[in-house]
Amino acid sequence: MLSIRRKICRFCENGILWIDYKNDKLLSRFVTEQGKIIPRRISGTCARHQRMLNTAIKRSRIMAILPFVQDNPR
Amino acid sequence: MRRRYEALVILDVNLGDEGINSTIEKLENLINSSEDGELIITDRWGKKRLAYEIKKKQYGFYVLFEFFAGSVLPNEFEKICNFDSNIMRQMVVLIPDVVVKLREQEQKLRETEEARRQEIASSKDEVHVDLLETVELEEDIDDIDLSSESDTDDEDIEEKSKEDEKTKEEE
Repeated sequence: MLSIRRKICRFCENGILWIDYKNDKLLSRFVTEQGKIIPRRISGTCARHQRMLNTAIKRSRIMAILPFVQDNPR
Repeated sequence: MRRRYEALVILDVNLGDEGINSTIEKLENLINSSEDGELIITDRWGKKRLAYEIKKKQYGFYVLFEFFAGSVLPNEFEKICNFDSNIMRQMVVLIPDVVVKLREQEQKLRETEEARRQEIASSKDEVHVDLLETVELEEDIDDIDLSSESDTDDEDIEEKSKEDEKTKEEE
């Protein structure tokens, strides 16, 4: 039942060396609706690229491109 | 050592065009006047909604500076930005040398590709024009035939079948 499928890092596939903090469309895919960074056990990115993602997301938060927290009142 | 940097700055929208232009010019002059400093591009993103309020403001004017600089300029840039009350946020980021090289390569590739595409497009355009003209003419003929001989159904059908054959032959 439980098939252990190794997820492949998207950035490794494309051979990306540097993640731009200004690319909000890309970064918003690795952030939950609340604005939390998605852990790598779920997104499947490798350690090296997760580190790059972290800095990029944190930088874009400082520049108000991404939110620190997003409240969705329902 | 001369390296490539990128500075993103958020300006106050309430400054107006003059205020924004003058502050951008000030920063450009700062970059160009310093040792080893060389401005590459200033990219004005324009008014953008902020992800969260900064000093009770919902909008900011984003400007991106790309420049070469020595070791002194980035710190000075940050200092001056922090003292300026019109600048809401600033971020100076070093672009790794590997990325700079890659970007240069990519741009060269793009330029060569575009040149090729333009060559192909210019040759294709002529063909496209010819095709369009023929299609328009055929449609005109069809319209005229149907409108003039719509009294009897049988004739119409015969005419249509003939036309179909004609078009097929033409094709």
